[in-house]
Amino acid sequence: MNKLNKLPIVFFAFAVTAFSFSGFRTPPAQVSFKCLVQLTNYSGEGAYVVVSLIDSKGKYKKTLQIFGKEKRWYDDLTSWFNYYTSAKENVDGVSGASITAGGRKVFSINTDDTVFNKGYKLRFETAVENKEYEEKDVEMDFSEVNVGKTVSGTGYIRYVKLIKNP
Amino acid sequence: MAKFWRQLHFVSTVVAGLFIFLASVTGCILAVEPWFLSQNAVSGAANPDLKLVDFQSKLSENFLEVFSFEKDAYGNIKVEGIGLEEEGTLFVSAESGSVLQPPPKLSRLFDTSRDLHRSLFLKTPGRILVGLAALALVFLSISGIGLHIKRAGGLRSVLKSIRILELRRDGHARWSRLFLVPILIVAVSGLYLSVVRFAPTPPNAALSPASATPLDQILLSDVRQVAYPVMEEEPLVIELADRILYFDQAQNIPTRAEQVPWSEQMRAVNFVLHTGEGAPVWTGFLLLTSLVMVFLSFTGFQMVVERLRLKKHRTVPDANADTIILVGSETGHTWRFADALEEAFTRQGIQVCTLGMENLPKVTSAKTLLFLTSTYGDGDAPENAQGVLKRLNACLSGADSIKFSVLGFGSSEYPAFCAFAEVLRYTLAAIENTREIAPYSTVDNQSAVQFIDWVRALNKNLNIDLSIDTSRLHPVRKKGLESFQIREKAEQEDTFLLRILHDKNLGIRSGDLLGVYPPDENIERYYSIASVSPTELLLVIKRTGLCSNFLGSLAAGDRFEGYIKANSAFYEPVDEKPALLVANGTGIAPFLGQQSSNSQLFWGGKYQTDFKLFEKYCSINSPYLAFSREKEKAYVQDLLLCREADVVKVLKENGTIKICGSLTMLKGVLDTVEKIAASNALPSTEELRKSGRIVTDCY
Repeated sequence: MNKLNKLPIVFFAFAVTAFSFSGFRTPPAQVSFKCLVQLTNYSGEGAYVVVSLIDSKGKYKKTLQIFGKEKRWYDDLTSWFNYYTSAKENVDGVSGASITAGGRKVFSINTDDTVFNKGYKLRFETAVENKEYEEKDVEMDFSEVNVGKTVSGTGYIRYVKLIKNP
Repeated sequence: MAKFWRQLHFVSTVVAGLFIFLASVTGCILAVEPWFLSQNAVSGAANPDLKLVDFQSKLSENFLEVFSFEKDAYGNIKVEGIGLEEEGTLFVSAESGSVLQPPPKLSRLFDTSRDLHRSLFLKTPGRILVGLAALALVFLSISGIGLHIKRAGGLRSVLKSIRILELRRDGHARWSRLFLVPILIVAVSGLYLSVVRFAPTPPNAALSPASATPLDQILLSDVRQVAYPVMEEEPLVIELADRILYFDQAQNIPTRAEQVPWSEQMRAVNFVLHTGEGAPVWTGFLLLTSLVMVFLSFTGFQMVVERLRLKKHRTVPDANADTIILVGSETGHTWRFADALEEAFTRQGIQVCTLGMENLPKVTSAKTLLFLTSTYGDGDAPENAQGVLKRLNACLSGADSIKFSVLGFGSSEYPAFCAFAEVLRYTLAAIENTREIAPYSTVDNQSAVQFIDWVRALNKNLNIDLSIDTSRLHPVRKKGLESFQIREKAEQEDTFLLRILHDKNLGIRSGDLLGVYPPDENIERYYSIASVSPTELLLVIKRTGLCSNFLGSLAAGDRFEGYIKANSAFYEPVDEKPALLVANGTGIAPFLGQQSSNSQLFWGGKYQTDFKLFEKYCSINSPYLAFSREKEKAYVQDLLLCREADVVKVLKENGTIKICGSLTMLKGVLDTVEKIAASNALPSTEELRKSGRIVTDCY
């Protein structure tokens, strides 16, 4: 009976120790943005747009957003598709409908500050059925410089705008 | 021209039939989607007087930032913006501008069906294929109109009812005609959507901004889409149904206005026509149209397969063959009989050659020509016999002598039953060097029995012994036969009368036919029915062969199986029009139990006692009777001649003459009526038969 009563105390001691150890490393702060994508008035089907985080060496790090639901069209986004098939990333949570010509969409980017202002880039790749694929429709630094500014695209994207969370 | 339409119809089916079938099946599924979407719409109805600016201020209460919004065909308002709690594409209430739960996601089945419908899962090449299928459907509709006109024998009779004798052919015709307009709409709109997809969008035409509605006057109900400025220099863009307005910041009058191009507006109209989006009543029509198209593509396929399966026949006559079988066929049934006939000749060691009638050769030596032909539509030549009548004289007059016989194929339920075969026969007979070797006969509804009767006549006249392998005619025993029980049987010499119990639900009427299979044979015989009560019918049968002897061997209490074939031409008229009922022997059967006071019965038999067999069922007062072996020794046609005034009266009052019995009697009666008609300036019997006022059931 006595022994049993002491058990919570032992657990408490463990918990305190564990907490004090973890306290040595502070967790990275979260950064959160909204991003608006505006397409040009090209003529054709809805565009498939994929937004990826690219590291300083130009490698894909993470898929942030996909506009376009049908997986059978993904291979049109050639460069990203290579990464996607090898990394086997689960993108169900970040995919939505494709964007029609002239349309705009907003999405959110939630990540930690280890990739913000650290030489990482945001890449917007676009593909439209029966039309040219744009590997870097927009590629911009993921840094304070680009926040609140509109950045023009070279293909189907007219501009994107990164907005600091209000 | 009919040949051209038919070729176009055939080729379009072969090339695009499968795609049209797939599009129709998926079309059925997709036609349901608008209904679900309208059921699941969330935004609600907006006040029709609600101004856009007022709606905007409601939105601003619920959003930190609104980038754009659009309204769909179901009134859903989708905002692209940053809400108080979430961001992205958000559905809002049309009344309050507050964020709502999005409509539930519809089944993947719709997306998959749409993909298959639009592009067969083949991306761009698939879209082109489907576009071509839409083009083929346009061709099918147009050639279908041509074929309908040809079938009816003219534009004016194209709306006449189509009897369904063969579900494939007649059902195809009936439903395609009924749904012609919706099918054309679906085809043309589908084609338009396909073409416009590959055409570049034309630029918008500029409009005078001064004439446009000021911003504070625009109603939410007119708005399709709004995009708010994101960059400093960007205008506010408002899309209405037919125009796009650009407003500089804080301006009430647009700085620029554009007209949505005509092609884009047409695209929107065609889109609604093709998909039924936002138009629930039309969607119902589209669903029915899709269902009908599934049926049409299916029956169309069956007919194509039937046609492709046809054995390849020679096109040039065999010089050694003294007998040529010439076939005029529409659907291929006649070929089957011709092939069986050729086989029978070959078994007898007689060299024959079978040709399509389009290959009728120039005959220079003595030959026997056997014509087996169907009739198309309202008495026209079938497909491969078009123009043959004109060539007959030139082709045949060069020979010393030509022996011929004509056998007509068709269904007696058509008014123009075997009309072409008859004309062919007269045309042949009119050529000087020809001689008919077996009397002109007809085969009704592919009746193997009637075919064999004609072959027997041929045997007799040519002094040969052909025997037809009836299995080659592919007779199939019908499924789902009804059970009948004999209640009473009466006999007189070799004729007997059966009173038979049946299921009330069969709805049997006097004049219908009872099809009965003799044991161990798949070729049925038909017997005319007299309906004497809702559950009882009468048959009058003479023992002549397998089936009649089988029925004759049954006794009261016995059961047998059979089926009912409706024969409305022989029903009692519903209107008060008079009718002459003419019969000999057992042909009286359909007229027993008919009791209209406007009808007169003429019956011919051998002896007075023959009539006693069915006298008690004959409810028509004082029938006119003729006996060929007794008393005046007269035939039924002699009775008609005596009662000429009655015949004239019936014909003048638009009544009908119904004839049932032997073919010899039929000939005699028709000759008599012809004489009476001629001397009273009434239409000829041929015209009367064509217009359905003389109907016959003779054997």
